[in-house]
Amino acid sequence: MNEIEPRTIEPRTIVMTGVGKRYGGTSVLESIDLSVPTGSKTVIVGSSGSGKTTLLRLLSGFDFPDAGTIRIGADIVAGPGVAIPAHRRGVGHVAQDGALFPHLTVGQNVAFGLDRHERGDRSAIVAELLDLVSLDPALTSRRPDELSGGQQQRVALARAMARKPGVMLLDEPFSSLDTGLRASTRELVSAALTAAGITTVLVTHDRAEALTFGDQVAVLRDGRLAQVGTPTALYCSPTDLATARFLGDVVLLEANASAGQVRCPLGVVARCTSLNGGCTALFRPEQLVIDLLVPGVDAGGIVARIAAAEFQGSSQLLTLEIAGTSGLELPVASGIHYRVGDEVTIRTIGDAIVFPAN
Amino acid sequence: MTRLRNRTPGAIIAMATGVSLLGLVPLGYVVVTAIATGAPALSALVFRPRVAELLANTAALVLITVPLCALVGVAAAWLVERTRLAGGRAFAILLVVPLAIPAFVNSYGWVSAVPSLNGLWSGVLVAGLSYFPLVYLPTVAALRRLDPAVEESARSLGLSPFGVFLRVVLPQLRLPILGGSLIIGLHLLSEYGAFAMIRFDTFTTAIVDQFRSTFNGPAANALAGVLVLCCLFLLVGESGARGGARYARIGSGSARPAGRSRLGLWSPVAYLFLGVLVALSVAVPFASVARWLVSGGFAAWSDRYLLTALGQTIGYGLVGAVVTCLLAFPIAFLAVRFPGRVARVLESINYVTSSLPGLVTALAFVTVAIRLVPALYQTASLVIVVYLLMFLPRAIVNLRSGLAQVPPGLEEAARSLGRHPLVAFSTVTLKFVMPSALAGSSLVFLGIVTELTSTLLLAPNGTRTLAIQFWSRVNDVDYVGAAPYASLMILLSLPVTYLLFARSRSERAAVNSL
Repeated sequence: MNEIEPRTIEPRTIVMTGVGKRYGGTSVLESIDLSVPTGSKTVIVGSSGSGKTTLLRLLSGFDFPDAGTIRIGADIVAGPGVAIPAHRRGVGHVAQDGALFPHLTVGQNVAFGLDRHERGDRSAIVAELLDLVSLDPALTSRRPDELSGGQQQRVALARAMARKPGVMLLDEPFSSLDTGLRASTRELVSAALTAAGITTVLVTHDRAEALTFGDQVAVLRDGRLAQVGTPTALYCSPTDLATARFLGDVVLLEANASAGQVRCPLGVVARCTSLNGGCTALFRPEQLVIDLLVPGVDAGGIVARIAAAEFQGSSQLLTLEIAGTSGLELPVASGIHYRVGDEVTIRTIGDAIVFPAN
Repeated sequence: MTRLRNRTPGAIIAMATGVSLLGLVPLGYVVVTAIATGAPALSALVFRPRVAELLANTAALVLITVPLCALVGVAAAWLVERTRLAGGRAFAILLVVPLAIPAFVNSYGWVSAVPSLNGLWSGVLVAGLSYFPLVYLPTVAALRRLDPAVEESARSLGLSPFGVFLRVVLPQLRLPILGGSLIIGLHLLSEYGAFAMIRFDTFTTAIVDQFRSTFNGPAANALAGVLVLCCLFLLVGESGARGGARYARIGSGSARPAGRSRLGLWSPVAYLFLGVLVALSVAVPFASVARWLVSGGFAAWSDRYLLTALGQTIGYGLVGAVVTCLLAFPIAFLAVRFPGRVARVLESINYVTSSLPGLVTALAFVTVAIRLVPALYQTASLVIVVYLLMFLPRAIVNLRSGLAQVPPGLEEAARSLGRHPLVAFSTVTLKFVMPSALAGSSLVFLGIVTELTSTLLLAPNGTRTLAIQFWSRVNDVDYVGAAPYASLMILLSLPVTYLLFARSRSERAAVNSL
């Protein structure tokens, strides 16, 4: 049997500095500064029209920025007077629906980007790559349209990995898959990329995907990066309300800050010296714990009355009446059956995040 | 209650079958006459130097012209669709205009400009300039439908723009190129006027000459048999080359227009290529017609048959278009609503029949009429029947794509709102199909307006269509007198040609049935 040369990959760093892009008169991206460390995974998340696909196309070399520079590894690939096209960047790209070549078999698709001298070991390399993305080598002779969506995506990844790229760009590769398939394909792809140590940028509009896939998350809004950080930092300390809402459910309460303390109907919920006067306190729903009030027992916390309860399957949405509020909607687990009129106590876990009032 | 959708409607099957049986007449005629002639007589008629010479001529014509047309058509389509050439849209339209000029009018234009034209290479020149849009147009349509993400993937896999074209774009254009080439091949086999004008002998010109000069049945029939074999050979060859591959886009991603290349230093070459192509295929025939029109002045327009010819042509065109569309409907309806073996067989009979040269179909019906239904011989009805069989697929293809786009749910909604199934069908579905029916009829109309060969053979005495009048003027070497007829045929064809152009740029493709 032929000995296959180890297919080593040299991951590279991505650095974008002051990158801007306009289409016609409209600015799609503005002063983007982003660096993706070698071998790490960064997720760029944003709603549709936020410019995230454009950002990825600038990295892959299908489009070029009007301002700023993009550096991949040691090379400037785009910037004033420099415009390296896609085929000279050595950057892997997986499109939204895989974009497999419809006229070629799976094996031919995967082998498409191999260098001429590698053609000899073709079938061995193809088998190795298919194995990397957990696909049966028996699929080699199939046509792309005979595969499921998840399989197509994995073939597309194997095809891109065949070039041993130092950087892999994924353009919403899981969004066209069914919910169940989406999670499992995502895990597989993530594991394959981690194993290969490739620097990866994933673009998505799905917040669960954003928080689970990457080491770093960048929130893109209206063509600007709203916040960049680890998933935990973004979820737990968002810098603005829009980012907080985009990444998870929120419970908002009117609050008041004075003498370094933030007070709301649930009591003192945070310490804050930078604000004074009216402000907004934000909790994630899992920070609020409710217990049925047992008469005569002081469990601590704030007392509230259940004004409405809507069953939603695994959770239920309670509307709570608390003195001094206009009512508070809180999703809680379905385990305990609450009835309208029940009295409960509310405890908070951890501090609220405080934003200036609107 | 009537269950319209679950039971194949008998009346519709009967109509579709009737039309398809009619379509079997030409093939049946060829087979029956071959048997009646008998093997010894037949082989004496087929295996002779004259037939070998015609076969060599025809084969050379097809083998040279088809690849040239494919090359020119694909190159032009790529330049117009995928490069940032200024004036691309103007070229896009101009490159379709040759379809509005009947090949025999183009030939007349070229002979006027270069009287010494004759033989194989002149045939290649004239036919190539007339037919390259038959590859160009479907290629444009296919280029517009390719998923740009697939080409971008190839670039991110390290292919240069030219590499992407060779390894990714071109293979996906296989179907339009093959389909267009097949149609060109069939046109080359069946064209009479264009080659007669430059004295280049093919099977078709030989059959017409034989038939018109001596009315020599067996000889013409034997030649027709060989011609039919050539057609079937092309049909089988094309479907073999097509294979079972499916090249539709796989994904469902949002459609983005594909990127266009900058030509840079190659721009002058591209302009030269497109400019020369348009000059040769459009400017030369137009200039010749214009020259004869000018030299004829107003006097040429006072030809007493001009109005008659215009009226007869439009009459034949309209009646033929309506009849064809009506009779195509049952076949298209079965294909969409009751797909299965029956529908497939009925449909393919009509495709094969229309692929036969109109000349053979005409010969078949002349013979059948004389022998079996003399009352039909030399009647307009017989002409319409032959037009029907020649152009039926143009209507079927369009009606079918129209019907396929009507959501059956709409018809069911109308029925659930209390409409009788037939009322629901006619108020909902027919309304939706109307644009496709119009498009199909327009293409049939275009075919009839520029039809010469079978009209010459079939038409009742005294018939004066534009094509027939044009042809008789040209035969009398009255090029001035022919010009008004030529210009009227082009004028009638231009709107339909524009329709073809517009459709090639929209999502709906219906250009593969010319």
